[in-house]
Amino acid sequence: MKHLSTQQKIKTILILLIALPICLLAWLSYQLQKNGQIVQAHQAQNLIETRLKAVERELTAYFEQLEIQLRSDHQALAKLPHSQSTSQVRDYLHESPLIQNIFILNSTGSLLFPPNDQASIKEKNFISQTKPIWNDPELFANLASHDETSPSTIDQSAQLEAYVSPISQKKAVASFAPSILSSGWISWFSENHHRLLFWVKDSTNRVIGFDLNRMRMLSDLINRLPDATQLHNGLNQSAIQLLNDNSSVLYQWGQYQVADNEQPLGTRYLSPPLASWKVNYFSHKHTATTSSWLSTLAGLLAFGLTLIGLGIYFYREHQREMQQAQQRVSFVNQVSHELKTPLTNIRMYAELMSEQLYEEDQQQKRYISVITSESLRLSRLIENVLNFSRAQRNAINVNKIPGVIDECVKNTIVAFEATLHNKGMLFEVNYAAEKTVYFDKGIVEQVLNNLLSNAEKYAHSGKKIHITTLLENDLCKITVQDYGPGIPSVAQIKIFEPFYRVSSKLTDGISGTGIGLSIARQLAQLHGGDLILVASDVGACFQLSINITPS
Amino acid sequence: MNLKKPFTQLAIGFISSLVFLTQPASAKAPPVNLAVDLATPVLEAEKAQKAFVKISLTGLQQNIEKLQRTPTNIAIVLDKSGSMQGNKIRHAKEAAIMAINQLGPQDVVSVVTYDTTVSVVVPATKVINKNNIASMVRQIRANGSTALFAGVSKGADELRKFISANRVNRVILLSDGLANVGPQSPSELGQLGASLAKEGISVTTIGLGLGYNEDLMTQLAGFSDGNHAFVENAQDLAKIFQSEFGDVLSVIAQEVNIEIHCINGVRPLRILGREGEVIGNKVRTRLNQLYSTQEKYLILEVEIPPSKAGQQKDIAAVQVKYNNMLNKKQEQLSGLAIARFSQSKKEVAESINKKAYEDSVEQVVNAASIKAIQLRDEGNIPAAKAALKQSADYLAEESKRVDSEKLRVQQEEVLDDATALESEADWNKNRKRLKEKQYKRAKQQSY
Repeated sequence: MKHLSTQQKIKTILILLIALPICLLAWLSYQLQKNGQIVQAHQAQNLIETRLKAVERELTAYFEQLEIQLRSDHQALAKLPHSQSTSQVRDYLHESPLIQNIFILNSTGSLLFPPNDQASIKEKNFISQTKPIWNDPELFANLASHDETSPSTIDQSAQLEAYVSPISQKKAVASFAPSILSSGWISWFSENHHRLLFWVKDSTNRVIGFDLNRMRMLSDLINRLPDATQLHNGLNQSAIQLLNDNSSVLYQWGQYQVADNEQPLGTRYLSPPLASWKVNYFSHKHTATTSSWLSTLAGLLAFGLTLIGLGIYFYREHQREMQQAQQRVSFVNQVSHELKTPLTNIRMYAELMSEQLYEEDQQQKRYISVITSESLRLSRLIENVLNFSRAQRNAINVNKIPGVIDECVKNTIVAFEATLHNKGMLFEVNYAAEKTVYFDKGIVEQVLNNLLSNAEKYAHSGKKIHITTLLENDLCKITVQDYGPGIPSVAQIKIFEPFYRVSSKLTDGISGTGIGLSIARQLAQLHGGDLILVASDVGACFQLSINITPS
Repeated sequence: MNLKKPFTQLAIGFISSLVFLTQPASAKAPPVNLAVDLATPVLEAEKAQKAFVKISLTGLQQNIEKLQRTPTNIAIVLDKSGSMQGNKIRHAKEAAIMAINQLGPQDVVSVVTYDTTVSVVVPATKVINKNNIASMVRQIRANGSTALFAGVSKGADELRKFISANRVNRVILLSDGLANVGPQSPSELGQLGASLAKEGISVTTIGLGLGYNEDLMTQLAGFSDGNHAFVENAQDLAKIFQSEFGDVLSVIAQEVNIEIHCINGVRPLRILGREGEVIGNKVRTRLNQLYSTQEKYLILEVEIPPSKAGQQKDIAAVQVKYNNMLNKKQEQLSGLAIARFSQSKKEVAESINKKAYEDSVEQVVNAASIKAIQLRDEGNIPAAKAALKQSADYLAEESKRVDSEKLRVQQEEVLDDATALESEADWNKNRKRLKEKQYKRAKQQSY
């Protein structure tokens, strides 16, 4: 399980390594996109506003020019002597494409033109239609004195709306037509249509009202607006509609096809005298955004693919390395197994030989004891290697049988006594676990072997190894304390990691594989206990604890 | 010097004779003839009565080919809405190109198309590179709605770039469908037409197929004094364009203002066939142009107070002002309608001016026919038929009275029209045909 889980861990980490940056990037780009969209929408809205404003300006300019024109017409008409005025006004109407009717009020507010007695049918109609206007001289008088900031008065009863011309216009007018008092627009309703009337009042309080040919005015307005072929106005992908007060489309330009009932992206109501008319702006809603979304998505995808590629590459590299390591491990395993049998033979025969030696063959005996102890050491090492690989494969079984821990400890120590003695070291043992408990003798021996051989290797300067055994509830604790140089604090956490060695200098003259403590701890943990490094003033103190309940 | 002199004289003599040859009388005599006739120049005495005054303007034969003809300023406004797809737009384009090919470098042409939006395909330009213009016209493709009002507006605007009293300024509108963007009622388009007429722009309207609004098209043409034609098959467009351009190229007078003063207590009642303004005893109307060899007239119905037998009275004084397109000057003509009063019915009958009488009757019948269509539109078929029957009876009576073959033919025509009213299935087509006929009658259109 352990082996597989590392694989899985690596996989998970790799997936995380791939997924996290992608997610992060996706989120970032989403945010960026969102911000971009907001900015874009804002810009688009601004653009729409500007365009619609430009349209409005164009239309307003028409009325400004018209006002100037009509004021000068007024000057011409006002100058006429009374006797000629009727026929001259008719001639004017006959010639003027834009003005279809005129009324003239004298200072007392009575109608000078059209003459009531000598009027054509058209003029009579006009008189009756405009009666509410010319019958109400207040309309002009009031407006003249009105505050210019609130230029509109609405006469609900007569369905009239009136506007005074802007103040800027008036100033301009005043410079060349000082006789004009005031002027303005009246929007009135007749024959189901809104009609526009421009009136001018001069210093003699005479009012002339010009009735505009509605259709001609519209035609002129349309002619001020661009046609569909004028691409330079940047309307290739949009369209603008001019709508009247009934919201019916009067004119449309731009290349964009407006669907029925499509909602405009922007609307602007026009200023008087075209109040209640409006211009609508239409365009594709998401053209820019979708394309940028696509590009972002493509970027993310490319990034993701690269990451996945890299991940797969690293994973395969790792797999290969793992495989190689596995091969090495199994090779070492094989070798260890192969070594074990001859070693056992060597030891066995060496022991046999030492038994058959005579007392006087001290020299030989010493030699053989060296062979024995060295082969013991070697078999411990091999046992370590094999245990380690077993632990890697989870192949270690804890085999608890009843026994006395003190005896087991005693047996282990015996095997070390000779070598330690050679190095001038002594054992000091406090036995306190003489009860029969359940434990795996092999494991305890193995751990102790490791601890003791470490002490032998690193702490022979301490001259003493102190071992205590202790039974505590379900646990048995065995402490091994040496009085050597101890373990530097930086290394203390790492000593249980496999292949870690406090000093890996070959010059130290100390051999080791670096897996001893790691395997010892694993074994202890398998036995339901632990192997820890206990803090001590001098040397190193390890405490092994094992569970001693029957399985 | 002495040697040269006879040659100079000879040369001058030669040139002047040439001028004389090429400009027969036109330099001196006006190119327009004004005739003011009473249909019944002798009236019954001691009786208030109605009478018809015919004011006729005839463009005299001009040798247009050799003369400098009036340069034109034409805007061709083509409907390219979805309904024009296929043959229609193809024929329209061909007809337009063919018509433009008749023009010369002194002429100005523009081509405007409209569907939902309006495109100025060919901005107002002198007709120098015809191939270029033709290729631009060929690129027109049909689809979309019908922004007729805006199309005409833009067409007129193109004309304004070169507008001049010395040019024939005309919009030629071709449409096969109902206007559905912008103003779309006949009266609204009529208002635009009236406004354009004041600038000297006429709008000729050509209705193609059975889908257009004939009222709108005739009003637009009528108020601007243009021509109107109903073209059922797109193949005939070329012919119509040919005729229209023939008219345009033969304009000899423009801005023709007619003022009629009724005198001696005579009261004007109505103008037949044309729009006009009646104020008191004064009548005012205008024609945008006169064509060579064509007669344009208007019939004024007046009420004449009773007079004693043997008296001779002036009925109406007519004054016509127009721009002579040949010498670019404003000229004036005047005429007088005089009536004599007699007790003898025979004298009254014998004195009838047959031509004027026929034309008056024709216009009265035409007005009645227009009424009949209105009745038919209201769904009152019997009343419409009755009105036409009445016209037929009136024609029968009057044709007998003046022994007129023309009126007899018209009587039959009116009876045919009466049957045409009945058919519901063919009414759309018949109505267009009738409208066209009425329009042509009223305006004395040449084709």
